[in-house]
Amino acid sequence: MNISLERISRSFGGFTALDDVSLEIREGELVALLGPSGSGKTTLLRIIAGLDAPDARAGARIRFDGAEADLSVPGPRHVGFVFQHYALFRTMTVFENIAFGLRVKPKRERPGEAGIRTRVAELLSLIQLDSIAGRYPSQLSGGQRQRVALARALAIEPRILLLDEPFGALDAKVRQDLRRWLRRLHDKMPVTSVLVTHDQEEALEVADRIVVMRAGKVEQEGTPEEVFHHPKTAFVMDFLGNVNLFHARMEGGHTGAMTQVRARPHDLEVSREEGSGPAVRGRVTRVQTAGAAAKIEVATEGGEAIMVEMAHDRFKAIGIAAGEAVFVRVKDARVFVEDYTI
Amino acid sequence: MAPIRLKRYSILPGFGLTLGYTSLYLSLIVLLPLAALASGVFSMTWAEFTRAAFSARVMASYKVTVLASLAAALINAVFGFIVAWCLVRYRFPGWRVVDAIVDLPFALPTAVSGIVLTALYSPGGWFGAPLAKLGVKVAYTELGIVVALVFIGLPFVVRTVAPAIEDLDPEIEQAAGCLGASRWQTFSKVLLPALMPALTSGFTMAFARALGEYGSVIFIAGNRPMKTEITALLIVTKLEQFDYKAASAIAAVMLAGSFALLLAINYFEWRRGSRHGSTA
Repeated sequence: MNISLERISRSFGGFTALDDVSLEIREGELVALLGPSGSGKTTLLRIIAGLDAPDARAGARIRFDGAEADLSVPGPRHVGFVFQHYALFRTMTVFENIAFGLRVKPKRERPGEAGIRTRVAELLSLIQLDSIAGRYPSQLSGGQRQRVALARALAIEPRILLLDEPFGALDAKVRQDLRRWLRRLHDKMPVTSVLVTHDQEEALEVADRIVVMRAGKVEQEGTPEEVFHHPKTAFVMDFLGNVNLFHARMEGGHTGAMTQVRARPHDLEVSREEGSGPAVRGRVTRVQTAGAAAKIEVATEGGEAIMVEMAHDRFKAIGIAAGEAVFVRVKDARVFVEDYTI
Repeated sequence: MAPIRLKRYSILPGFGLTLGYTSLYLSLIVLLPLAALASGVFSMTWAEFTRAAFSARVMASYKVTVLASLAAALINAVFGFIVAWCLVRYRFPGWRVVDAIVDLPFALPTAVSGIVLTALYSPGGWFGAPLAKLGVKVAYTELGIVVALVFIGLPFVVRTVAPAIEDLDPEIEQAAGCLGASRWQTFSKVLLPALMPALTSGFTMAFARALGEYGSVIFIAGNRPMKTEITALLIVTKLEQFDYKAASAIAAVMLAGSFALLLAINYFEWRRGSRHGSTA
């Protein structure tokens, strides 16, 4: 289902959670709303679900497949919604939790008991939990609970699936497994989905499109590649990964102006020789090789700390140890207009 | 064989001290009087005991006491639930006053409430007069007993159910709503089952309180033998006649009965709870 949000604002007392946000979500997409806490992402999700209403302002409009939603009527829309803390019904078994959405349907739409059993069995095998249909939520692990919550949301065959930090309460390992599983699930059943998260890794890995939010506004939207490699603002670059900050003086058009240069740790190079081109002189303070890449911390002569990342084979080839004097060269960096100071 | 270790190390200090205190306190306050009661009973012959505890008049009093208590506890379970729901869910002008009024039956001397209720519901009273026109007699009937027991039992239900309602996660309701459940379906299928343990324990407390109630009932009941005479009154009557043995016999039966009922309700609730894999 296409979702079109126009000029949505929402304030709570004096706090503006959403400030004139417009957003298009297309049929079959998996969109991640990414931002720090307080950026308005959850509020936006709850407004799509009808669990909250936008401020009554001129032009505020939500359309589902072109049909305008009546914003004056509060109450949840029939969507699949997955909560961070699962919100399972604890007096019901896993089976009954998943069957709930089918059982509460009006009589003429409700499948028979056999139909309900088949549908729940399908969903149970989808979430790979066939064997625990008779258990109660309190007997499940966090990851299992969240899968049950997802199956429960999918049981009513929603045309929109909304996920509010679904993996936020889980262990790192379980979180990784589950988000890959979610991605595969979406490839199999492309329900239009909106995922709220503050974990940039999760958004980059799972989403077709990322909407980065900041202080109630959309900062940038685009594919994971676009937002990661071509951030439009310093905020997006900072939020999507580690960043080294250099203070530099401009030459050419704005000669003399101070600016900030941002470079990702893997876009820096460390060597013992000064070589050609601009380089920063410093001393290695710490080397950390446990992980996917070798991490080298360098303290510049100005006292700033720089983080450099490189592949292990390259690290072995140059063999740098803590305490050595080195030169850090920037292979790729970005300057954002907002950071100019004259 | 490994020796059985009685002392287990616990991270929470004070187990020995508090257990000792608990046993001493319970012995002095609860078990000692009960033992005195039992010793009174065991000094009777079986024939004496049955004559005192199971005569027709006493049997009638058991019946009216248990039935009236049951009715009052059921009424309180329903309406106390509504009061608790309203007090937890909504804030309105005068909320604090209403909240305090709920506890009034706890604080009021039972004789005072008994006299006030009797005045209200007697044929000439504010409620009694219009009800009498409709042909309903409350004071000096079984209905009057129920009214008094409802009055004193209400806070038990409200105060046990309210915290449970407060603990309900609003996301549970939202989840049910997104799945297409109506308000009523959400209430009956999701919220009420989650509140059942608290509601049952509130019901049990109101019921237990009603079984032993004396002060508020005796004025409004009229105390007609075989009809509106409650067991607690019979015990007092026996005491006034210096028939201590008969009084303890009746008291022992009542005690055993109440204990069995409470145990049964707790057991039932425990089984229901353990199905959900929770201890609550």
